[in-house]
Amino acid sequence: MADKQATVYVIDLAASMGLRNNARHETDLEYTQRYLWDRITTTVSNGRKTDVIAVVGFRTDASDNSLVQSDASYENICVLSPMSQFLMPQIRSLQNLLHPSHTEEGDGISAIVVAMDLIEKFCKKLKYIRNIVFLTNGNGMYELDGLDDITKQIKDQDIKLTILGVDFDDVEFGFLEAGKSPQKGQNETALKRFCEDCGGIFGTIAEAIEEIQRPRIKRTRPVASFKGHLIIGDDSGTSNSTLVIDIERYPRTMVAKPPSASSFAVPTQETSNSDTLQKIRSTRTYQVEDDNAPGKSIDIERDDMAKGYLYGRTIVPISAEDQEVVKFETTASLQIIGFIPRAGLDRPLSQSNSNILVASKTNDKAILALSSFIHALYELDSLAIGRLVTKDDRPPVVVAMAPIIEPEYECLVDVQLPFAEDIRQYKFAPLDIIKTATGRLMNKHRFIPSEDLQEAMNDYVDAMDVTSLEGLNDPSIPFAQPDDIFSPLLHRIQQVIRARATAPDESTLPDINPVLVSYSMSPSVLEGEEELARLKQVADVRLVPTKAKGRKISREKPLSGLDVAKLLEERTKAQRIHMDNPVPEFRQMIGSVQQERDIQPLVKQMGDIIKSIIQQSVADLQYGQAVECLKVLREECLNLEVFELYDSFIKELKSSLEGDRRDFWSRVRKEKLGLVLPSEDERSTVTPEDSSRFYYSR
Amino acid sequence: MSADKKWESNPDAGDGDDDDDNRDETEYLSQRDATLFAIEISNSMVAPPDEEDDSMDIDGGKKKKNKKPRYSNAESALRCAEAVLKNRIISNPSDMMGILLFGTEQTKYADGNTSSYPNCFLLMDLDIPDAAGIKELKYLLDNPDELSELLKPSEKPAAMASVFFAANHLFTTKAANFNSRRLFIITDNDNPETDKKARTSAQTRAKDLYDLGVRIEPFFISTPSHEFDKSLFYADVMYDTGDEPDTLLDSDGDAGKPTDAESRYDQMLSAITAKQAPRRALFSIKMEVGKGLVIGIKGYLLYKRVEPSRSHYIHERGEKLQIVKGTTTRMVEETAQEVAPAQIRKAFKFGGETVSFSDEEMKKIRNFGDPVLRIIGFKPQTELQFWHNMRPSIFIHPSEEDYTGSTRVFAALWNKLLNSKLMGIAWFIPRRNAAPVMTAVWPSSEPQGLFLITLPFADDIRQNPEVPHIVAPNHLIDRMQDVIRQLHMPRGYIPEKYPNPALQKHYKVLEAIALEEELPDKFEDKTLPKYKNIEKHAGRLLEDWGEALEQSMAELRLSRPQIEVHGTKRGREPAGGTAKKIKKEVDDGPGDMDAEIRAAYDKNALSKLTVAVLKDWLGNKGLSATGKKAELVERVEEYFENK
Repeated sequence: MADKQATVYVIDLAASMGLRNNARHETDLEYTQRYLWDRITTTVSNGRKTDVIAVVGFRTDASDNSLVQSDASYENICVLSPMSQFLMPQIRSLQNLLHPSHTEEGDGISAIVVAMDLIEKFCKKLKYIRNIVFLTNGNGMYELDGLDDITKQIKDQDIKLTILGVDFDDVEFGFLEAGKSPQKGQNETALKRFCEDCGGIFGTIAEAIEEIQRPRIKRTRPVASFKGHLIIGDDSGTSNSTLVIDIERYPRTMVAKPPSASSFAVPTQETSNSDTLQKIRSTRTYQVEDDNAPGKSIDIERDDMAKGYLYGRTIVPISAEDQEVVKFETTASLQIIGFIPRAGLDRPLSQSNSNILVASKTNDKAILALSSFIHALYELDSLAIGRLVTKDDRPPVVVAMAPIIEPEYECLVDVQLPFAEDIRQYKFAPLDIIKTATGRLMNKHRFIPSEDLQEAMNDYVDAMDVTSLEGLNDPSIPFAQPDDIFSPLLHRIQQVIRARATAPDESTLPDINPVLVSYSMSPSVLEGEEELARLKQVADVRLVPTKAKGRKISREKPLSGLDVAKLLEERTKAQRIHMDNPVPEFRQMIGSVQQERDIQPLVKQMGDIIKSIIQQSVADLQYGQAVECLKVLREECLNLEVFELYDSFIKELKSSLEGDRRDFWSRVRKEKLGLVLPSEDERSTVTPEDSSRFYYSR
Repeated sequence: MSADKKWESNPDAGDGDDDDDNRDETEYLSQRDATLFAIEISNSMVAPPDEEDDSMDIDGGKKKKNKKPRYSNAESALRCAEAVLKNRIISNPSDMMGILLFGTEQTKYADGNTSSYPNCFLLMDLDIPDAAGIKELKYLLDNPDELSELLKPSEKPAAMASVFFAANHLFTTKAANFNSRRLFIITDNDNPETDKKARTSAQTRAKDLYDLGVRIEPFFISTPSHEFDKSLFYADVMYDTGDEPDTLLDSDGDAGKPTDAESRYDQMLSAITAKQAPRRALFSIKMEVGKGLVIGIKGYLLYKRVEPSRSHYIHERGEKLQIVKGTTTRMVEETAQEVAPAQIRKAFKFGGETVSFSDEEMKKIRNFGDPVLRIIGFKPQTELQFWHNMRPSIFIHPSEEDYTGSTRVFAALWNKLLNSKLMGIAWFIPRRNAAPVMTAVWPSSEPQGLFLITLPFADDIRQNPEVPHIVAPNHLIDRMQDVIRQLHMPRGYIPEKYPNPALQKHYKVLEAIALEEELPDKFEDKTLPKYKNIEKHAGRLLEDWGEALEQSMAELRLSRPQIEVHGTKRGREPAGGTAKKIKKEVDDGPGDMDAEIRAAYDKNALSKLTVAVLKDWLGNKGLSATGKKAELVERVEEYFENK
């Protein structure tokens, strides 16, 4: 968790803030608010109670602050929002208060004093990061007498002052306002000096707005995932030569998850007349099947349940005593199994996020010892392999450790490796040679690149080298370095939540921040067009028409190339599907159909078979088989673009299901085997409502 | 995963927070597989191993070192089937398996139907196996007389058409809607049907299996005197399943080599276990090699942490054991009224209230374009840091299904990356509305193809914790190098050498309880360091290093006396070096603390201790040190109560 923080936003609400300047469509106040709301909502979305905000307006029509009673120079200054954690009510109330006033009266410097007062009263002597953010258009009068005193106080209280102005000049940013009023020019100069004296940040608001486009990264305080010993040798106490180093392990990478949505209930009209979402509580009940009970199941009390596992169909209860036997006992530690050359680890074997290992901070001897370990690994270009148990009785994992040596920092970094069981023994065809059905090896084949193709690919890859490019978001970082790439979903969701929270009536979603997708395309500076054109030409890749795909299956020949279709002719000519082999025969006959009018009788036959499987089923035992036939029927009807036949069959099937057999319909619904939707065949006119009514109605 | 969560039979039953990032993987795992072993029984299959090819003895005199029992081919096959059964029954308890013998004198089929499939013996019906079935099989394998009675070959071999049709019937009736259905044929007979009519019949029945979605996975046995010739019969009944051009061509790889009988069992076992899990693609998407140059690829997970199987709640009080089903009811918290599914809306918490979007909007928000692997440039492989890793890599291989020419373009890219030691950088959306990630496209020579290594985002990178920077002097580093050289494993990390000990124990205990066998009293843990070897090869050197460390510490104290101050903070200086002396120090710190805490516990004054002390102590005991003070105190009390 980050440190406690108190921030006061001081915002200029003069009548002149309501004007539009520099050809902007927004008023100065609207323009300024872009920055203000971004900052505030970022704080809100962190959801920290210890991150408090206050807002002070100046050049307001009214005066509302604790200093004005005794001193008239604090007039036209309002505390719009007292110091507190900002939540939705504060956001809404502030939104209603941010309007340009009808006056230019009111002193910005006094407003800063009000802000300092708010901070002092709230934070007292406690440890807070104190910020004042001052936003103005720089017009009006600034009372500059006694500024030195204020500067001293700001420094004493360690307040970070930021002053941002609408259309302030900034040579570095490259902005100079044309036709600036002398008054504003003077104010700018004075504020700049004041800010510099306080050690604060001074700038033009355009730059700040540009900066907030860059997503902010939420810092997480490092939390150790393991504290214990790195051990070489036997540490059970029997050996005299065991190396033991106090270490701590912290995440180096960890997925930053986007905010997750929770389920809420939309109030029904009877229960509530407000439309705020209601919290949901889940309760869990437990049942077992019991044919004699009403509803065929009985509720079970938690105490009547034991824990256990499935051994195939066999249920294996594990008693409390057995629990102890099942447990794999371990002791928390990181034991070194051995060392391997760096090249001895296939990179794709890395399984997990990475963690860094450092010596215990307070133990110089351990730091020294680990340093020798890190440097020795580095010099031998090796990795350490270890068995890590992060807590007693946790299952062990095997990790690989590599040294990292930076100018002022050194550590080990580990990733988890797979166990024997974690490897799936899939086999894949080689890419450099083709083995034919008869076992002949070939190195010229349509699957193997020709020399031309290889050459074109080599040239293209070389042309697309991005090694020397700058980062797209931060030019000081190399191209596509992880530090330069932001998690698109994380920031997108945060963006839309904040937008919706501050403008709940807005029905459209804000455009995606281009920074988030900057790495979704090749950078335009690369010049690989010629090479790519040539590569495309020699590669000669062709799209397989969708129709050809569907028909393939029934025409397939065995490895030998034997013409099975011919052997099947006798069968397919008969046009009679056998009850004991429906799926293959239906497929084969559909595949051999020559005229469209031959399709309908086959669909009819298959339909009859499905109905009779359902009728003859012992309870629901054969339903699975019927579902499979139905699936195939549907698939083939879609392939042959005769979905009407399927639709009329499934309607007929539904109405034919009576009495006991009605439960089959839930299978149809579950497998989504109902009416064909326009997404499956564009000629369909079935709406989602039609489809749903068909599934659920009787 | 916490112990509580492990017992929770429905992981969705939490507070309703959704996290669908792993959805794809669970869907992928929920696909069920049905495997039927079909084992040919013939004179050569059941022949005792000693009677065949004595030539091996002349070559190498193998008999001397062979202590393993030797099995006939048929028995080897049965034992392989048993091994696979016992493994998969635990790791995939919902998969189906069955064993069909063909060419037996006896005939047996499901429902007592013996006329349709003569000389086929259904030893184990295609179903989710149970303990009783496995015990039966074990009993058979332990009783040679009964086994040989069963394995008696018929005079006339079984018709292959019947075998295929029997399999067809089993898969159709028992394993309807299974995504994966496979027929493992184990045989040494490469030309079973010489009669034309019988042959045609077998060929059409094989086509039926193909159209039914059943894949034939053959394990052919060759002997030195007879090499299995696939082209005689099997090439007419096996199909190239399109996306896997190699499976069939290579599947006879290991078992197909002419081998002597004694190593055959091992080879058969490794060939069959390699195939025990069906290969399934994780996704099938487009790969954009360059703008407008699109090919088809499929992704596979080659590495995936295997966890012990899920536990269930069980009802023991009824007549028989039953699995308890849990149902979640959702209610409005205030009114306790049940919530209908249509009433549920997803919302984000923000500023103490909720911000919600319609489903349509959520889809739009999550949508960053169609699924694609788009290469945006290339970099040297050295640019990928060791710590640039988030999760297991994904293997990709070309597919001609949607784009012809995909394979050659993919191969050309692979060649170039491998030869020039380059990697691609790509924008990757594995499926519709999945969160996009950046990935390194990494060439691999075994297996041949490309791996996708997910890169961390800037948001995923954590800051380093602060640690004083003290660099070891060269002489200390040199001593450590001596140690490392002695403990070097030059062949690198070979995962096959390290079975997961916790998982293996789980398997063994569960199996022993299910089959009512003795619990094994010792479990082998190959991940434990080989202490004796370490002592033997590096013991002396570790002591040298320990001495060098003491010396370096002394030097350090002289040059920077101030560090002593924070070095001894809180009295836990321990563990810098070797040898017992230092180890004793390790125990000192917590020891004192133990006494203090114990005293507080006895006086019922734990709550008077500070949170820091409690946390420290809990941490040292390897217990969780999070939570409020009351929880910490409770945890400490628990510890002493159970002591």
